[in-house]
Amino acid sequence: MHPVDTAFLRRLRARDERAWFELWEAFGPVVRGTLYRWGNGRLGEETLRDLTQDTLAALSDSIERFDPHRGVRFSTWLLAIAKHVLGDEMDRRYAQKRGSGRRGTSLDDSWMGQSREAQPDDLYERRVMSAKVHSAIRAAQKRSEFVHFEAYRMRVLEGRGGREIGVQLGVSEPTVTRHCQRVREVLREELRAAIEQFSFTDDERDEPGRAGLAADDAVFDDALGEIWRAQEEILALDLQSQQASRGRR
Amino acid sequence: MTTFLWVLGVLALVVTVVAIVAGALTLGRLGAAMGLLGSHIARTLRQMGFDLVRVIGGTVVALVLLPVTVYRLALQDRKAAEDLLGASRREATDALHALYRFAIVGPLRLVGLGGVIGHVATRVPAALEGRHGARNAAIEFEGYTILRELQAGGSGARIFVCEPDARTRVRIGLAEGEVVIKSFDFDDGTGLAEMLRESRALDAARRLGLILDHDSSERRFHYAMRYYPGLDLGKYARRLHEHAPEGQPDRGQFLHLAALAQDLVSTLRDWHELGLWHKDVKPENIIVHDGRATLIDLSLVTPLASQMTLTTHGTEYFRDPEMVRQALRGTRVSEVDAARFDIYGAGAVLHFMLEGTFPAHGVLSGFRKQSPECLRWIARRAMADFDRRYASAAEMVRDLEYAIAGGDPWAVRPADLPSMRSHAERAHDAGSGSAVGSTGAIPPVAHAGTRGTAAVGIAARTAIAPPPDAGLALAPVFRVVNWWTGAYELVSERPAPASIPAQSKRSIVPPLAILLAAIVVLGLLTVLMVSLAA
Repeated sequence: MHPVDTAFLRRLRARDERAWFELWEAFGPVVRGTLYRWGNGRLGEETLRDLTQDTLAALSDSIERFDPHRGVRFSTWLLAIAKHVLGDEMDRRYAQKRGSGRRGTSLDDSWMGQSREAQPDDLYERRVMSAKVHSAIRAAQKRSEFVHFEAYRMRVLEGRGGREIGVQLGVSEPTVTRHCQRVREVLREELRAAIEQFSFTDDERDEPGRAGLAADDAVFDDALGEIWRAQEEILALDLQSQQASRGRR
Repeated sequence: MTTFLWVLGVLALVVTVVAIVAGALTLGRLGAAMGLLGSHIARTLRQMGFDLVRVIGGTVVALVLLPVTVYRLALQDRKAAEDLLGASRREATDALHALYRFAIVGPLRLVGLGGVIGHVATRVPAALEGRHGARNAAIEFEGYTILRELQAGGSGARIFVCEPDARTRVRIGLAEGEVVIKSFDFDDGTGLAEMLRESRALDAARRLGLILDHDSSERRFHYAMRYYPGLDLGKYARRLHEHAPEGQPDRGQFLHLAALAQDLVSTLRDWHELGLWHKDVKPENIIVHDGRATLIDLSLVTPLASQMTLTTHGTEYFRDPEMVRQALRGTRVSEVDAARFDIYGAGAVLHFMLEGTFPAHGVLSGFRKQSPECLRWIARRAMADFDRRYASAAEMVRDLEYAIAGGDPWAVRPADLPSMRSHAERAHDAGSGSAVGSTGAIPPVAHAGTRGTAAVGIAARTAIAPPPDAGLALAPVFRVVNWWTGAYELVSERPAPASIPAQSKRSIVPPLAILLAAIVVLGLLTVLMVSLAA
């Protein structure tokens, strides 16, 4: 087993706000989407935003007590906390409805291990994996020249032809290929870093290999493009559902 | 004697001409005054119409709620009954306000007594509501009549729609329309911090013509801006997408959206040149009126040279994540080029306009609808990493201008945009050779084109389809610089932003006085000439 106490976990424990922001940036949408599905459309946008923040705040509270040697997956850990926060919110709402003022359940250690209640489904696992890939793409975008990254985006993420991209950018097709190669190299590095940062188990670390992200350039691009497009679909559905629920209200 | 009579005759002729000119001027100004009077009557009648609708609507709702309240009481649901009763009371109070405005304020304003009742007009509704405690009920602004109060934002200020009196209109240079007054009052619970925050942008905003008037006293501070009764860009863009065939805006609508983005970024450029940044660029802070976009809300405006630490204020999806990172590091505003945070917001707004949804993943947000490649490029470039986005709002404006100039954003490639050409030139200078296109060098289009392209631009003028309830966006204006080659330059993509028209200071009195004087002189001359001739 890898040493689970990664540098990132240390940064979280040291209350490094930038580490918390990274976590929020990468997994905020996943948590929000999951909470929305659980809330079955009954949670408003504002509530969802608050709950997502509460989830990360609960992470902040629990991080000291988290025991990584239980072999819990990063995704399960995140999900358990999100479910706990949502449960707390529901309790609070029912208590308000009854007018009894019953206080919500308090945080305890039971949900920090492999929770029996919060079993992640396939969609959730895909979301977490996609969030890690997104995080790597974001980091690669920061490190790359704007034009180079846009060439890669058009080629791999949007699946457009090299010639068409060349015309749009006013460069030759071989230049587009060179731009893409540069970005791909950066992306591979960032993907390794993101997986290392947001994985607690060996199984999680092997996920990129299973998804084709450790293969040669063509397979790597195909796999990345596929994950990206699937994530785009999920995000679009989330946004549509949220807008529809806001429209109903 | 004959010579003297001739001189008198010529003099009489001159005076007659002066009298005729003065008479014509008097008649013209009388006409203008009649026009103003007509406009005043129309405005007042329209307001009275709205009030009447509110009276009827409020009364009906209040009455309908009463039996429902009784039903809830019968079910022993006391809490719901109390809520319903409260709602019914609020509706009834609103209807009473509207009735008061319709029956008393409107007619008095119609006969020119608006200024007289201004004070009473604010006190009576306050008394009806019993607002004498926390909120300052007796609020009034010298030179303005309060028409209604708008829902306040989060800054603790109260916002009123007001009508300036004639003298104030002349002073602030506003010929027609209403103003919105944002008032900060210690008696209303506003804190000193909010007052200071809003007041620091005043001078710059006044120089930009955004603020027409401001005043402060020991306990209160307020400023007046022109009131734009339009939709905010959030509702506007959503409506545009909803009404577009299959949710897909057409070429003209994209041109119109790009023009709105250009309005926004031009305003930001002006702010930045004056050393300020807006900090809360989002669709809800942009009002679309008469086919133009106006950035409002000065509540977070900050000097670029401020020594304050960056804060994480702003709105999710439109707030630059880099700003949050820098704020968490404790960076001071003056240590970064904060204008770029506004540029990110402008890019996010452009993305929102093209898609009709939030850019949930910043620069990585995808485009699911079809939209012109060059506009997508501009949005992404604005939202790119801090060091890689547009260096200034002016650079972004140039790209938007270019995208609009030809009348068809679909025909513009990212490579054609001015920012890309300068990038390619730099790359070429550095000897990378990456700027050589597959079909040759990048086309030297600049702002010069052929007659054919200009014709496309002019044809686009008629093709622009505004969204529902929108004013028509006007097409680019070109000037032909070489009739031989047909090259033209972009003068302005639309007529210059309508500056607030100043109230005409030409009074009817001077020409009338001249006319009367001329008549008197003419009379005297006639008498003199007749007596001399006799």
